[in-house]
Amino acid sequence: MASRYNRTNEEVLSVLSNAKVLEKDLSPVTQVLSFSEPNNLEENLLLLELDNSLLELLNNGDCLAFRGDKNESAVMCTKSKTFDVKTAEISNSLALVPEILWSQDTMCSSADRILKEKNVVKVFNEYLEVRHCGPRLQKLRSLLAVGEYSGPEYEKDLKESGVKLLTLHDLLHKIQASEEELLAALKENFACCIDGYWRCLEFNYHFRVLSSVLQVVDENSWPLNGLVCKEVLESLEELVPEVILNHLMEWYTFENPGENTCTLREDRICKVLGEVLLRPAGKWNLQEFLTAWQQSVPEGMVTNMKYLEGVAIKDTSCQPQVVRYFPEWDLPEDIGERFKVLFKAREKWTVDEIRPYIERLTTSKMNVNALLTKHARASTSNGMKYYSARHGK
Amino acid sequence: MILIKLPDEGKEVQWGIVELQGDLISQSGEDTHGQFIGDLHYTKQGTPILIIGHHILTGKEVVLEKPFAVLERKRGVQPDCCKLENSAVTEFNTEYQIRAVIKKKLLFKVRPKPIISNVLKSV
Repeated sequence: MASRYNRTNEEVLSVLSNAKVLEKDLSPVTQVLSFSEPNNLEENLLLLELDNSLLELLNNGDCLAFRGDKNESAVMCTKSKTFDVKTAEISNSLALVPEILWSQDTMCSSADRILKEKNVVKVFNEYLEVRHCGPRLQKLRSLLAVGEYSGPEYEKDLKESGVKLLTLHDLLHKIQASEEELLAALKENFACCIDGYWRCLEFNYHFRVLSSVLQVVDENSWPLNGLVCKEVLESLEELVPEVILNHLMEWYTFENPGENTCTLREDRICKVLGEVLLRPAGKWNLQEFLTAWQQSVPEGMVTNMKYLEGVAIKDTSCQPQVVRYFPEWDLPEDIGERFKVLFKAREKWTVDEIRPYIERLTTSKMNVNALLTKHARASTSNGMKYYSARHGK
Repeated sequence: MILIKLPDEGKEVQWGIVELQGDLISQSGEDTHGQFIGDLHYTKQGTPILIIGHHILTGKEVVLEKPFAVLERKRGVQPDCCKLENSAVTEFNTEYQIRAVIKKKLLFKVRPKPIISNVLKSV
């Protein structure tokens, strides 16, 4: 290869005079730009547009991570947030110059012109741009479904079957979500960390353990707001592993501050007991369901359809009215697809009815109303505002 | 999952971007590696002037509203912590290292002016 071109002071000055630029108007440093010699840096470089909050995270020593399988569109995650990553193409050329001197770096006093060699290591016509989006969690349920925990007596069989259980680290590799979002989703899915592996509780097992807890409450004739946590744990320690019991108590009770007692959460207990009834049946006569549901909850609790938000929907268009098992977590994660399924399940929704089914797809820039404006059509009937499919029948 | 990290030294190197309209190509169409591009000057007022071939461009120094991170892909980095028995995962273990953060650019957005001195000389 020909030796590198060496620019001289004379050449620089002659070009300046040809261009009719007076040298005395210039700062004394000239940067001589060349393309760098071939190297493998070039093909491995890319530009990622940041904002100041991301930059601050990096400066604080936090990592960013690209997540997802090869067939998924990439996301980038910080510890707490997930961003959509897209390639932005531009018609201008961005020439990348390492250790460039800015104007203030060249303002020295020197009688002679100083030449500094600088390389353009790569010219970009595109860069990566990130936009805050929600976590993509649809794979989580199916990943966790394989290793469900059904009680200590089934653990041996599970181990022998060769099912691969997942640690938090494994999950972070597979799920497009930040660590904090993933942990929140695990909690929401009632997953529990057993011996380092994240497991969902098998639904019937979960119900059995909860029933045992409620039975202990009943036997001791404790009021709903006066469970003695320690005694609950002690009476069940032989039957239920401690980690599961703690997990359940944390989910279904509030601690009473300053006391050793806790209060059963009406909302969560009613919700799960309603699900116990609806799950196998799918559909119930509304009146019959409400009666059965009220009878199934501990005395003193009052069932309310609002507890089943995101779990079931009422169908008031038929006679007799029915309630249908319609869990939010089974819906597609893609917004468009989700609205399709929603409007197939029911033609018209009020905001309050549809909110639990789309709330999880909201972002800081798109709230429930914005999503509805974009993906649904509003109409008013009998003074109530309803949303239906954009391209109705 | 692919991690993006600041370089270990944690030192931020000042890299810059020179933004031009259109493309930078060699007139003869040959490989541009190692080739000279042009002279970059600053006036005493701080205006950047770039002379490429027979063209002179006047630009300005701009602070980027959104900074760029220059990422370098590093393939085949061994996983440091995790107990990955699954070798398929290890194979694709790629890491991006942030080589630099770019906060400013030199923007040359006006049309380049031709340098016509040779013509004048011959008059």
